[in-house]
Amino acid sequence: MLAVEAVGRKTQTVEGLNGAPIQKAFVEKFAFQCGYCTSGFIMNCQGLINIHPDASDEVMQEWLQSNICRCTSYQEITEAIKSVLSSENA
Amino acid sequence: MILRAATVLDAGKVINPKGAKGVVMGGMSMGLGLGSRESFIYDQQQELQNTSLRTYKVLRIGEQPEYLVDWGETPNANAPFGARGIGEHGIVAIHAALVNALSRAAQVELDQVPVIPELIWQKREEEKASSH
Repeated sequence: MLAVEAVGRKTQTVEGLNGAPIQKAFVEKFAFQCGYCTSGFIMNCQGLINIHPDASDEVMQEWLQSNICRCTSYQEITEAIKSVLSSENA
Repeated sequence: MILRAATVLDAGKVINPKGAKGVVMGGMSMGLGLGSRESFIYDQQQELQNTSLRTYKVLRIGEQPEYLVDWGETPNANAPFGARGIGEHGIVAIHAALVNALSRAAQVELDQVPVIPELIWQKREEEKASSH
């Protein structure tokens, strides 16, 4: 989405996700080291949760492939997003 | 598609297991990227040609293997709790291990990184040509 398409609409930034389940999951699963990619991942994960709360692995990977992390192996991030997706379905 | 990657390191007494495993897996991830897909391409004027992450391919989510990390904990006599430091170590040997594994699988000696599929094919063709 281009920024100009957001004119007149409500936007949510990562500060608005303070205390959100996905943020808590990232902390619990140790899903960050330097934190540079973390805000991007949390935003993207929240978008995934909003639109595909029952996302399969393939859908999750397709969504999150846009975000690169150089510090981690994505394993903790995958565990964090999966824990939130499965609890949304529970 | 790499299925599993294992690393055993000696970092003295590991006092933050989650953190230590996390940094080693991160290092392995970078090492596997270097071994399998990341390559700097220079032209004749030594100018770097990959100028974006579209052409400099790093591992993305879903492309990582199952990581196995373990420790040989030789305590450091001079440090509290016998701990040592650990950080980048995960990257050091993993791409060599990958190239060795691929050499074995392809039955041809691979001696450069990144080992892209075209390189394996090329080496096998050279091997075939030289044995005739």
